[in-house]
This record gives sequence, structure tokens and C-alpha cells, in this order.
Amino acid sequence: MKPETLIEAMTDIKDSYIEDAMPKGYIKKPGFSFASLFSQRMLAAMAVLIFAVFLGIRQFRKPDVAIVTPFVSFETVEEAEKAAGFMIDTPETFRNSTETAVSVYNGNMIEIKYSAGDAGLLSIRKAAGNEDISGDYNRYDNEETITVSDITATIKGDEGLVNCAVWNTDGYSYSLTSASGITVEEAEELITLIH
Amino acid sequence: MEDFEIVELYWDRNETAIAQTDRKYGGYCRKVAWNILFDREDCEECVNDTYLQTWNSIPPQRPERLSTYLGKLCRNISINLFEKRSAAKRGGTETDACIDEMAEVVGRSSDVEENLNLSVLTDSINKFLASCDKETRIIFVQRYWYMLSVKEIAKENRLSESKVKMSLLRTRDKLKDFLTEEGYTI
Repeated sequence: MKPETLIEAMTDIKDSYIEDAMPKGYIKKPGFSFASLFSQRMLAAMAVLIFAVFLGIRQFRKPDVAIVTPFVSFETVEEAEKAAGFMIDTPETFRNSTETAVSVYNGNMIEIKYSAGDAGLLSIRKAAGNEDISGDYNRYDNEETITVSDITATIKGDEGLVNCAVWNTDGYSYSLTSASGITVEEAEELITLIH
Repeated sequence: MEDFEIVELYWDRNETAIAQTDRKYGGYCRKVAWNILFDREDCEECVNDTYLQTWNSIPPQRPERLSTYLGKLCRNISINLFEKRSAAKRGGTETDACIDEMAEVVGRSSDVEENLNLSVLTDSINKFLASCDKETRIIFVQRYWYMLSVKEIAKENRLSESKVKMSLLRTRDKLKDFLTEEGYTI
């Protein structure tokens, strides 16, 4: 085996071994601080007030400048498309999903999540470019390249399921991720449906 | 904020979860990434990717120890980025030295790579580490998980550098024997 493989396999060793070996100073210990004088809620309230005043001043000075936070949630896909500057086509539902959550990350990536209750089922992403935007850096037992309707995609997963699929076409990158895994057939169908 | 409170923020899809994570563990993640990459820009990229992957994985995950959960994600992301760098840019870092030291254990062959199950290998490593005494295990994990230098490990544990080097050498030899007994082709 390669030595890099051994180094990679070290990542998931027992938590207690990692904690025991943690060097001093890696995590700040709670001590006296400004935060200790006030409750967390009061600090949060002050932060909101300061941020609101900051927003007011900025909008007074430059009303056409938008403040973008890393994750912004939207009620509809159409609103997300306006924020990101491109369109996305995805299935309305997936399996027995009862709700979808739409958000835009950093103003340039649309993410749509399907869930049923507390169970996350599927996450779909689209962004301009050709990089892997899945955010899934897990190592899976299976990884292969498939071609579906002239789209070449990389699918990865364990136990014969697909936990992550990435592909790019027409100047956009796409990904779908599922912690519990979907079938290869479901992945293939989704790849053809997502634009 | 306690770990379980931060985890609840993720479950509630409260965007302050990331700010709280960064406040408590940002320094920790940056140090883990720095020890592997030694590049500020790459470190920040990996830490941001760590937060993104944390946001995407909680729920359904509900980690009890957020520090090690984040540490493992960050380490994995950093190692992946390290491997993506061109060979011309590598060399001279602690990560390179650790890889060279591990090559003493397993060699550099790749002919059985396709059949290697990483989680099974991790279980074997856990089994091996369980057989080590605590000081030996801490030195080994500080070297090959945290990628600390021998000098840093010596300072952390109030040992001489020569003692740390000897401990690592002996542990690597024992690991080699252990993996051979476990049936790995080395």
C-alpha cells in the first residue's frame, strides 16, 4: 500500500486517541472574557442591533450594495435563481420528501435540500465553473465514472449505493449528495433531470 | 457554548452555528490544516470547506465530540488538498516527512490499492494503538495525526528529541510487524 493511504486511514482513529494527543493551546479554554460579563443572548441582541445600524448606514451611503452572508435561505427556487444569477432545474420532490430547503452559498451556488422530518434525503448543488462543489471529501469504497445521456459523472459511495455524484456540463458544476445513499438508478435519473 | 448547543444550532439550521463553531474551534481547525499544508490561503480554504461539510452533514449526524468531528473533517480535506498539489511544489514539510516515515512501514507499492478497504485499515490501526502504552500512543498520534515536528512533540511531552525519535522508530517497526500479521501486503 502507499504510505499516503496509511496517513489517510489515521484520520478516523478513535476520538479518545485524538483528544489525548491534542497539543496544548489548540482549543481556547473558557476564561474571563467580555462575554463572561454578559449573557450570550444579550451579546447576540447587541450584535443584531449593531449589524442593523451598520446595514442602515451602509444602505444610506450605498443603497445599491447588497450584503451577502455565506448562507442565505430563500422561500422559492426562483428567488434563489435571481440571487445566484442562473437557473436550476430539479425535481419537485424526491422519494417521500415533505419539504425542500433552498439556499444560496456565497452568492454563487444554489443548494436545494430534500428532507422528510429530521431525515435529510438529498442535497443538490449547482454553480458556475468546473470544480467539485459537493463539499463531500469522504473516502468511499466505490468510485466510478458513468455516462448518462452524454453526461460524464463520477459517482461514489459505500455498499453499492451512491452517496455523492459530481459532474459538469455547459459551464456549470453539479453535485448531489446523500448521507444515507441513493441507488445508482436514482442517481442516473437525477443526473438527467438536473440542469 | 457547549458542543451539544452548537450541534443543536446545526439541527435547527441556524446560520449562527458556523460562527459559533469558528469561535470555539476555528483556531484548532487552522492549526490542524496548517500542520499539513503550511500555506495560509490553503488553510483558510480547508477550514471554510470544513464548515461547509459540517453544515451539510449535521443533520443527520449528531457528533458527541465536536472537536474531533471537526478535526477529522479538516484533516481529511487538508490531506486531499495536499495530495492535489503538484509534486514539484511538495517536499520539505512535516507532512512529506511523515509520508516518508510511513513508507518505512508499508513501502511505496500501489498494486493492491484498489482492493484496500480504508475503514478496515483504520480498525487495524485502532487495534494497534490500543496495544501501545499511553505515552507511546500520544507521541505517535501527535506525529502522524497532528503532523507535529519531533521538536514540537518533545516540547509538548517534556521529553528529549532523541527519545521522541526512538519512540517513533520503535512504534513504526511494531506497526509494520502488526500489519504484516494482520495480513496486509507490505
